[in-house]
Amino acid sequence: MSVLEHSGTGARMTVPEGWEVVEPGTGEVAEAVVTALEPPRQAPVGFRANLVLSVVGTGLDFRQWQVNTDIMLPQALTDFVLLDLERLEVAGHPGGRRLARHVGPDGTDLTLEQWFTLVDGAGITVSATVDSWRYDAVADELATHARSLSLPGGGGA
Amino acid sequence: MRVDLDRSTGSLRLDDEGFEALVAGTDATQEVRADPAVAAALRAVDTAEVRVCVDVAGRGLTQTHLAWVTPEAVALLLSVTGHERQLITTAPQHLAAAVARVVRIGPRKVGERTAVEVDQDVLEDLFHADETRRWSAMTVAGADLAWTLSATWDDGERLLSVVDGPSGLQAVEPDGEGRWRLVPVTGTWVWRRLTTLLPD
Repeated sequence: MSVLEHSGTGARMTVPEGWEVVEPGTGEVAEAVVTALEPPRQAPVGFRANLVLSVVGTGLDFRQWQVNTDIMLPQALTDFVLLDLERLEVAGHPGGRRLARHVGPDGTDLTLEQWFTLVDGAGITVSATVDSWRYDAVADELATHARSLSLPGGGGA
Repeated sequence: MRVDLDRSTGSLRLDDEGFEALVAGTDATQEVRADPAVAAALRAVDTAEVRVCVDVAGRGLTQTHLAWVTPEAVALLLSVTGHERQLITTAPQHLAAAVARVVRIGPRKVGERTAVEVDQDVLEDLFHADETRRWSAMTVAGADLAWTLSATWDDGERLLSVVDGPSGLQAVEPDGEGRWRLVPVTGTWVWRRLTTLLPD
């Protein structure tokens, strides 16, 4: 089983077998994000589904962090539509899940699903993105990997 | 008859009579038909492999939105207000999002929910032209909005009916014994069905 791990905090999760784990770059933002990409798809080349684990210091409480996220996402993503939002436990901590649709830079219709929690001031988010017409086929598998998220100190799977 | 093309935005506003004239290719619509986006929409209408109809009913109004789907494009005829329609061309991959917008899928804050039985008469009256009967059915069903979607093609179809209100999104489903029930669902559930709407 492949693993996606954020070296700074030890947050880790499984990713589908065969997915490419992209080493983070340098810089404050890049170091906060680790990504796994599904293998390149056969022609016609399509969008590569991905899982992104991000850990950022928020300086905010959970609600304000998520309000800010709800404000930022429609501004950052083209034709953003929020489809679902719920509170649930993530890695053993109070958190939530968000489902949204937007359009990628090349015009691909994308579905974004996020699981998020705030622990000791660190906002931890797992983001899964897939082209929308494959979402139903892969949603359960991506959710299983999102639920595998574990945090140092025993939180999560 | 109304057929108004705003060439700066590509937006085509029209009424039902204007749409019929456009499809029929009447002389009065030739200039508009020559617009590339309109021409693409009309090609989709002419050669559609899948036809989609979304009936949306609220307490105060009912609307019908139509779509014609080809492998290359989707023509959307959206109800705007009253008799005003808008004809839009988009890619088939954006069909689910177009439906999600017109039926207003989104998060709903609800508590614990269970499936409840509902009479067929009530379901039919949710879309009744008479506002009083519609209002009554909405009240009985606990709904502010109801919508039903059909996607049909040569040898198949997909149907989806949902009521939406203080109890959140609820799918209309048969109970297996000839009756109907409202089953609690989520925006995620609906999105999974919308993104599998078209035949494989």
